[in-house]
Amino acid sequence: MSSTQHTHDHAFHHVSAAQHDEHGPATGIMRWLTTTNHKDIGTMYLVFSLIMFLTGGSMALVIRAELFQPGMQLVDPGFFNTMTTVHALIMVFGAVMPATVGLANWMIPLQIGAPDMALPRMNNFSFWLLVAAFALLILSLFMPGGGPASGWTLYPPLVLQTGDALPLAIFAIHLAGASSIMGSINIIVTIMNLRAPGMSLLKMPLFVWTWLITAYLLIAVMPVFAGAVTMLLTDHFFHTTFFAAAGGGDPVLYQHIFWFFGHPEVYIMILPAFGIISEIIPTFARKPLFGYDSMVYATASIAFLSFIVWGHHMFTVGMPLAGEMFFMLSTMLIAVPTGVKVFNWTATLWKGSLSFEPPMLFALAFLFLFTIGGFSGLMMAIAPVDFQYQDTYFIVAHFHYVLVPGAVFAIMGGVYYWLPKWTGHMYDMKLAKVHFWLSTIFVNVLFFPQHFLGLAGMPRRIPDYSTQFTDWNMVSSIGGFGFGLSQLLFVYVIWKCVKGGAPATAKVWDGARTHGLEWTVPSPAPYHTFEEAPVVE
Amino acid sequence: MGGGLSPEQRRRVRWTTVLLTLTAVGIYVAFIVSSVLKAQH
Amino acid sequence: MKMVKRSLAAGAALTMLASAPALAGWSDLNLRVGATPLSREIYGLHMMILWICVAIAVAVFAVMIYSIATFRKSKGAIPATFDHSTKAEIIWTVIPVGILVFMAIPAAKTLVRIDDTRGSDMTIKATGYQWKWQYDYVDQGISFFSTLSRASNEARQLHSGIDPKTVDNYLLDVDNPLVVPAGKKVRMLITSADVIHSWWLPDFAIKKDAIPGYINEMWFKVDKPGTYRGQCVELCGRDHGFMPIVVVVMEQAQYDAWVAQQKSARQAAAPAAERIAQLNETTLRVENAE
Repeated sequence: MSSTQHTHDHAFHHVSAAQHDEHGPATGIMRWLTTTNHKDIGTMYLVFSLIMFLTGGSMALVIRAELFQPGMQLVDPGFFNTMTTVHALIMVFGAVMPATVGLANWMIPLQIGAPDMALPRMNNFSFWLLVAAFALLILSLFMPGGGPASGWTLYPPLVLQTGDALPLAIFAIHLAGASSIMGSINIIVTIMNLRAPGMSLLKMPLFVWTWLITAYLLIAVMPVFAGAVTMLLTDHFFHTTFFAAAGGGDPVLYQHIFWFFGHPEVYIMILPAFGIISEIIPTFARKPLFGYDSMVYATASIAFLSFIVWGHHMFTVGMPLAGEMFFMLSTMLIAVPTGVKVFNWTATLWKGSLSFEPPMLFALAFLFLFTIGGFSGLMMAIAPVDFQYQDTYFIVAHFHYVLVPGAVFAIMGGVYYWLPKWTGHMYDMKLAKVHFWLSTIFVNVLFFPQHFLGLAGMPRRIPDYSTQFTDWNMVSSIGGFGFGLSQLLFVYVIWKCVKGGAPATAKVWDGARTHGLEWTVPSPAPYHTFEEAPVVE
Repeated sequence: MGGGLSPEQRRRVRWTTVLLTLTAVGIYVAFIVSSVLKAQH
Repeated sequence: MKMVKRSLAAGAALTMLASAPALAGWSDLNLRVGATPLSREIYGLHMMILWICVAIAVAVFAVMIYSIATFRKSKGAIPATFDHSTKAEIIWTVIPVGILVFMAIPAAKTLVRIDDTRGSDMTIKATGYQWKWQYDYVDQGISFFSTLSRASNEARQLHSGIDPKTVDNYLLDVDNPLVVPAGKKVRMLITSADVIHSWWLPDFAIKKDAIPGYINEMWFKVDKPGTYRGQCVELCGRDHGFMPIVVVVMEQAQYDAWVAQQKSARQAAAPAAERIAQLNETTLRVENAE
């Protein structure tokens, strides 16, 4: 932390003479507790998300260690279920989402030429709420009865068998949800009101567009999740029977409410990633993004469609035929705008002049591997065949492909892309490339065999399996440990860069668009930027 | 930050914030109320 | 549809390839064809979609790889400046829609067929418990629990010291399997006594959630006698991974004999059960008198 502070202080001192700041950043811990600066808050979100990524990742390693061989070698099955549950909750709400929010905080004001976010104090509060939320969630692991073990989806009646951890976990979700909602309000208000003059909506960078749309999705569905878990709480403590069959309630109602949130949630995780890819590829292809307008419309279509497909998570629940038919067809439709995006990125590469720095490597890996995840998703949309895939490792393979070499790779690409802007230093490119290759190879060793396991009939969320699943599980576990260990390189590259490195120019990358506003400010970006709005043609 | 927003911008920021907050709270309440109504019949 | 017939034929060919040596492990790459006409149809649908996805992926990846290999700055490539093409956008929107429509037609047909439980010959109710299944033969008055076999259960304990590879059908074996006659349409009613479970037989390609307060319906018809194994596929607590499903399909005559034997076993047990109940009552009266 102190090295980042050094960098910021250094930048501040550089600029203070010219900018007559009466109040600069506080020093020490108070700086980080009370900052309302979007760069500081962005940094905090990113550091938090990295810590959570490693924490959730360790839980995944417990899972893969137990699954390395058939038989139970390491953990109690109940604890295994807790690991599965908390691994997912941490990765979704503690790693991926805060990382994209951190990138939003850092980059949106810079990209639209605004001095900061519209609601800086709420920005600070949003971050620290998240820390409180995850303190609660981690604490819940130590409660009598163990941590939540119902899967991250928290289906009743099973979730109501959770011990004392239940209220803690639900409260953690409420806090994280409130944090997300406040962050989204901040993002929408900022984008709609603080763009530099001349920056019309259809001139904004794609990253800003994808976050604008994501923020609307978040406001629409996060309260729905909050409602669902509130009802879990009242069913458990206050004798309501929303989801209890014995009381006339309906366990499936919870699933409808949860997935009405849950499906848009996965697009909330991937849309900012799409935005990052749309920033990186044009820079390293030295060519403008192909089809800017369609990219915006495709993103908006995906967001709209995400509201009417939730039933595909419930194909085996016993829905009437009409419901299954509707959700099958609407889900298949999402392939169209998603395909448009993949084709547009490819067309950006076509006849470009490509170079392969780490951000571009991650973006290209995303292009291949996210597409594979997309195809398994299309297969799952076919309801009659989904009856064979549902709740097997085929599903696990699908969502890990879109989330890990999908969202996470895009985030890592974004970090490697903007890190010189934040720190003023170029990082160790060679090491970063090693990190890239190790990650890409191991992520496939880890997750590709899971397609086979699912098709062969291995259910998900089981700590032990019949012996015909041995070989691919072993391969997957090796991939898991390889991938996990490779991330230590990522931490090292970042830490080394923060401490020092070759000075970065304002433009940083040879192919960076000169009319991308973040590349017009010095590197590192001064503590306060665009105090006067720039002119945008 | 703060120095750079015109009064008009501040007004619009406040208005948008209130609107979005009410929307979020409204959705939360709406889903719970609709579940209560569903449970009642 | 012609494509479905053709892909069924391709599926049959692949089946012969896949089922040649019953190698475990590495050769388990694909969905199984299964034991029923419906499961074969579903397998065919799966293969058709898979091949279409593979074809599109190969085409798209080819363009990506070509771009990465050819348009390199290090090779002196000068970047073009085009940034849109309405014609291209229309083409790569319309063609995918067409492909989706092509996929949706057989998919919808199969979905309708799965849903049709009319004309069943018998009904069996499966109730999920934590952590076992209960089977009720609704028309015959037979009812029993089906629990993970003792050998598997011992081996799966933490630090059991027993190598799972020495256990037959490890984690896929039960004490009392479900027994059904071959060639008859069996209607399954699925429900739960506690949390949500899910009943899945991969060889029959049927899966339905077992939900308290709900009775879900599905059907299967197996012509070939044999033993088929499945698992619970909805997280239901600590031993979710340890409540398998075993269905033994018998020729009609054998099945009838099994039914008769089950019924007589219950009748033999009945007087014993009654005597135990009487004894308990007596004990209570004696205790209360003291």
